Amino acid sequence: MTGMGFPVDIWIVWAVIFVTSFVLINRYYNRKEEEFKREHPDEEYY
Amino acid sequence: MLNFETLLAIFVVLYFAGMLLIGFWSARKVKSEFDYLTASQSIGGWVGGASLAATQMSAGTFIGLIGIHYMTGASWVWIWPGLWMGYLVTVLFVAPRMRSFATRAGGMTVPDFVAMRYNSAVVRGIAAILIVITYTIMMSAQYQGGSVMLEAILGMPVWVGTLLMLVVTVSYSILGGMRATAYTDFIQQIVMLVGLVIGVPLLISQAGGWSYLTSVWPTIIQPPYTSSMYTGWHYGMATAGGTSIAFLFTFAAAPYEMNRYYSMRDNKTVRFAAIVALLFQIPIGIAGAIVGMTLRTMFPNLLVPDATSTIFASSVMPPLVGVLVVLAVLAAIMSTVASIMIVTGSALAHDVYGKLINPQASAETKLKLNRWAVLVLGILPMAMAVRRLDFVQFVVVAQAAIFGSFFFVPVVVGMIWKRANTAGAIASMLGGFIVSAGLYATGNASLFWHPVYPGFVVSLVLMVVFTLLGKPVPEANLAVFFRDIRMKMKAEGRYVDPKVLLGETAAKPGVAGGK
Repeated sequence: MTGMGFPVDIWIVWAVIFVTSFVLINRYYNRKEEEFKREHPDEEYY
Repeated sequence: MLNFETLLAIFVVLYFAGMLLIGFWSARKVKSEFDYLTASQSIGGWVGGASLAATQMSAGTFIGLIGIHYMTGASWVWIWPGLWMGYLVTVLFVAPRMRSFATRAGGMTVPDFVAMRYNSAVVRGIAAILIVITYTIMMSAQYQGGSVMLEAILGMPVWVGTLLMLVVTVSYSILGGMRATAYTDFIQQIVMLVGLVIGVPLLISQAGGWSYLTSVWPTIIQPPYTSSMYTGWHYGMATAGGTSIAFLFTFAAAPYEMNRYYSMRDNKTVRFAAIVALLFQIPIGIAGAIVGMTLRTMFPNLLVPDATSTIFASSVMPPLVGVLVVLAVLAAIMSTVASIMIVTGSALAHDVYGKLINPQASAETKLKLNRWAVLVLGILPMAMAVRRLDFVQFVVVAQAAIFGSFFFVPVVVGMIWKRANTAGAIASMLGGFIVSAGLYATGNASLFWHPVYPGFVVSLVLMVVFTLLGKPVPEANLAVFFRDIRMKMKAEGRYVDPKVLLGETAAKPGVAGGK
């Protein structure tokens, strides 16, 4: 947003940051939920 | 060779027929209110994610957003990170708990969720009524956007265009409920993406190419500025950032998105769906900015920014691509309207009537009432749409700010802070709504930078103060959402079946715990 051009660069940075964080959060919670279910088969994680 | 108007009429009819077919197909699967409102929790990640994105993308995106970029340039792109942060908050704190709540307790609506969390019929009633009021404003913007386009292209009077969209959308929503809206959303999201993916490169090439555009944009001067802010900060951080935060608060706890979480298969699906939604929004968001700004270089003197998409579809694109763009706009509008109608209809039928007025109503009556409520609440915003409240994008932003002000705190804070209680939730919802809606209603929306800031602060402060003064929520209710409390109660043999509790909570407020 310098006034010199269209903010494609900012957009790409956002896209990478958000998609990567969502994927990592996904993997983290999927793993945590599976581990929890292995230890407590009768209980739900949430 | 068929002209644009004839091609459009043929494709619109085919498109509407396709949506109705999905409605009929879904209707065969609806056997109960739970089927109708949650699609029996059968929706997968791709359909669910596309549905999340399609619901978010409305006339605000395809008409309002393009119009704002046309008028003011690039700075409006700053609304997107807030919206995505909203998804992030919901994925972390709200969505998986909601889906589990639907499975465990049979919850079907967002007021069900807050009524159970705060053990209160009053919380349910206030949430249901505020949802209906705020979404009715949002619906009017959708009808306005679609009818403006149909009027400009096909010469249809505003009320005819509005009625046409209404009949088709209400029909498939009434017939198939959540399942129909999710699958139609999926098709509609693909139509939106294809329309822009084909349309944008053609538009750039017709305007003189990317290099030409990037050299012209920094020279455009838009009042009140005397030098170009077109690729800079036309909207400074206070306005663009404020709107971004409004979207964060809204999409972290937006009922029309939250209802979708109920319908998904499992928690993995919920999290995956959020990624799918992002994958649709990322290209469409930037495409909207490019379309608006490119059209400014081609048609610099349009008086109504909301007409920009119409010009794009009817005067710039080859007929077949133009038709696809119009369908994309209609798709964006219909997907949002359908989702809102399911939410507002169920707020009236399931929550206000079925839980507060007549808890003994049969399942069949409730299902029938849901369908009638969809019809009534679909027609109501037509009057506002014909009067045209404001530019579409501004109406959408106002609705987001009001929602963010009254619903973020009770939903998100309620999932983090176990102490948050009934008195806090009631004060927080009413305070946030009165402040933000009051600022808009009295024409003081620009005080405090953006209505979402005072609305949120008041909502949060009232939640904390009234919670500290009020009684805690019974553990039986908290156990539905917090695992540690649930496990402790099970170990002590005090755990209450949430399905029983949900009925008790609604029928007799304040007596849910300990049974």
